[in-house]
Amino acid sequence: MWLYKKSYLFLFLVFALSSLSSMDLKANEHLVFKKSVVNITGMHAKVAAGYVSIENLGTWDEVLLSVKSDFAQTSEIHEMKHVNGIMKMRKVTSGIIIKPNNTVHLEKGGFHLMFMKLSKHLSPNDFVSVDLEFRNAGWITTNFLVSDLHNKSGSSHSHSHQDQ
Amino acid sequence: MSSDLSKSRSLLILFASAIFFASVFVVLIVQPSTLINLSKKINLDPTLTLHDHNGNLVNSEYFRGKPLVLFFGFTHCPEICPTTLNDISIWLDEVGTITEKININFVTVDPERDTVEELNKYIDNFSSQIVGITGTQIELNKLFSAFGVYAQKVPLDDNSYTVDHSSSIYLVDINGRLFDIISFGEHSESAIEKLKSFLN
Repeated sequence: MWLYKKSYLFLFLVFALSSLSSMDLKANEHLVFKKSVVNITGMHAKVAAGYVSIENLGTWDEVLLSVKSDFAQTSEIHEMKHVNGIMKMRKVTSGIIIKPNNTVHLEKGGFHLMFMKLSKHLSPNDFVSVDLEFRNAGWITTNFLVSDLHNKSGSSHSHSHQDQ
Repeated sequence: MSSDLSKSRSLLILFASAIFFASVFVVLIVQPSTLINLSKKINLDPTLTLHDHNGNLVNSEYFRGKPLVLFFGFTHCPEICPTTLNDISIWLDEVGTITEKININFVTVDPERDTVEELNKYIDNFSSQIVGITGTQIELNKLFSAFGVYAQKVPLDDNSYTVDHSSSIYLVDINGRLFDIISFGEHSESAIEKLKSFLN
């Protein structure tokens, strides 16, 4: 009888701790952002591409839905595809799913953030603020390092951090 | 009976012809870049009238007499075009080619936005050996047609657009024959080897 009570107590504690852990993570902490970079081409750049690796530490699917920024008139999630020697870029409308304990890489040649009609001058090695909208976590603001594609010293830098 | 057989045969021939012409259409029109025939003579329209990023006239003669490197893209392209132009600059450093020996060009597929002025600002970001080329859509189409380059405007949400385009780099010898192409994503060592072989 004593053993049964102890087992129940143990199970209860495990459940309570795991619930507490999930509740903590729900405060947007289940998402980790790494290698956040906005690439420009020179000081007259009209467009810029954003790259970031997003890790989902949660136990549920997360979906990146949209993006906004204060340095571009239009900010969208895009996908680059190379088909039969032809480069194609399309807007992603259904979002990008990030599975539990997985990382999605927005990187060259694939998914990326597209900033069009830049409304502010971006300088290499500056940080710019980007808002990312997730289905569960809502809007999260994170910083991206500005890198100039033609300036190799700028583009070789990468920055890892976690934003809430 | 004989009439039915003849009708069936006619229908079969019609059906086979339709498939044949549909295939030709897909290969030649829809996916032109897959049909790159090395050593083919590039026949440029003698009436070709374009401009470089400094406003100088560019005609068919401009593309003759020197080994020619051509890449087609646009200044609003966020990734592939600047990356490729950067790569070309780096490869040329490796090959050690001087400007006089080679004619390297970035031809816009977006003449609507890529004016001489815009191209001038953009080209400034890359090797001084690279020349930007623009012109009217009609004139550029002559060049696209000669190289089998695909370029298609695709509307975006904000009344803007992007351009799907061929991503290869074309190497043309002094006799106007296609020597080789460097595909997008090709390993640097391979690209440098091709350039060395092209220039020697």
